[in-house]
Amino acid sequence: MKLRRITTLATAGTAIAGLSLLSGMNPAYAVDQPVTFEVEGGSLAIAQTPTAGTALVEGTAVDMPVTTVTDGRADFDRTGAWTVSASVTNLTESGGATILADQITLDETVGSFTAGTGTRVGAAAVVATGPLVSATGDSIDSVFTYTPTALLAAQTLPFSGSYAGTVTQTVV
Amino acid sequence: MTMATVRRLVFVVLVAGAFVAPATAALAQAPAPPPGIGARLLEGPAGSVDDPRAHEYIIDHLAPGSTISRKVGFSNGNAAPVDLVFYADAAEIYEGTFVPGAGHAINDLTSWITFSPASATVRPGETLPVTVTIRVPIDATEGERYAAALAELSSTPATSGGVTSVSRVGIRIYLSVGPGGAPVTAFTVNALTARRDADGVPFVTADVHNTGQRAVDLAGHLDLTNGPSSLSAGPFAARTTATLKPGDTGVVTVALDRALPNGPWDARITLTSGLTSGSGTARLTLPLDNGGSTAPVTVRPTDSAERTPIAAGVIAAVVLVCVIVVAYRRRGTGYGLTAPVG
Repeated sequence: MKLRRITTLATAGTAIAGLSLLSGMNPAYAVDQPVTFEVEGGSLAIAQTPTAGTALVEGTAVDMPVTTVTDGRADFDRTGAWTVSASVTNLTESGGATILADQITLDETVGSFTAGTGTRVGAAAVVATGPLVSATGDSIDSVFTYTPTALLAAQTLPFSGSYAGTVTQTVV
Repeated sequence: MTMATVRRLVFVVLVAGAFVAPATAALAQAPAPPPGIGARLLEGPAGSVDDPRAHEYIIDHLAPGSTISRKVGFSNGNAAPVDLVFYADAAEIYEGTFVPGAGHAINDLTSWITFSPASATVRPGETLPVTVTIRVPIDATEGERYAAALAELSSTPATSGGVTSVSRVGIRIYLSVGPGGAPVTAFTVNALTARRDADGVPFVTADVHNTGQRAVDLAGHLDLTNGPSSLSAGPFAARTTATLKPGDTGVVTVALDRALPNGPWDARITLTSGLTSGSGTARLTLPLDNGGSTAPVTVRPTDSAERTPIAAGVIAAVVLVCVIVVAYRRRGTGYGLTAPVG
């Protein structure tokens, strides 16, 4: 009798546990999630050759620092594509003059995998901000290398002085 | 100290060693970080251990008022120490990609996220664990939101004008908010189109539609069967993935082998996003000309690409009821509780 009760209770308990596990339900009320699992694998990384600043030239695409993306993630089925997006700020001059960011076009000289293989998906040239290049590596620790470029549009008004700005590349 | 005490101490040391040794070994085996600055998710929610996306991104469904914390490792693969700043940047999904905003873009989600530490100097070869905490306000509205947990590294600022380069790396965050279970994840594959690129390499594009209520990252493969002389080929892995928010349509591309005959073939496409997968078939013939394509062929679904937590829950509930009913019936029969007395 006791054994049967225990068995029944255990079965019911298992079913209830299964109910919550199978449904993947979060409760309808606020709850914290203290239970986690440890993720195996490496990093997604970005590196640029060190530089103290790149001078832009009106009407000419200028090479920015060479960029490499290394994908060391232990992706089960290599489904994790990465995307580098790029953005540029307004260029400002110490006297207060500004060249707007939409006057600068960022692009990617067609890069390639320098370690491992994979698929590159280029994007349209970026005006001010947007995706620059995406890729999916076929194997762990694939390395993709490219050179971003920045093109300052020919200005309708003459400008002079020393302008400064920032180009940001983000990989996720 | 008695022998019994010594035995207890030895036992405690052994048990502690059993926990410490694997951790130490894992630390020792950690590979050197790749060049530059890197990011990796160090932990995910226990309920999502089988979900590949949960191993790379912070993906969750939370009720208003909830708080979660995840550890992200930010690494320095450079030869010199780097000063990193950690913050959340609003992101959006468009044209099949996940794109963080320029600068420190904000949305609801970024205002709920804090980092500990918020900045640090990371030594060469070091991976710094950073705790990312998401506190969903009690009055948060339903819906899915996107952001990225980023580390930022600036190059030396230009002193005489010019453009300073900034690198950022991070982990995508897909956060669904609402009461009850997670909203449904679903997608359809509407059509397949056979194409050849300018170099003559054949490929197939799949038109996909996110019909669910959460974002998907679609990847998968294509199998070809019933070709000329009953040939089969594949599987061919999808060469591009598509990140689609609810309601979006996009394209997944599968490159084929140049040596394949033109067909016709029975093409079976199988796409997956996390734990949700679906497949469908279409009869395809590869185009003859370089740069050419055939008309899109409607896909006949063979597997539902839908993960409905409610359905799984209902099945489990039915099983539970059956178990209880059977248990009571057995008890009644075995002990004669229903037998009339007297």
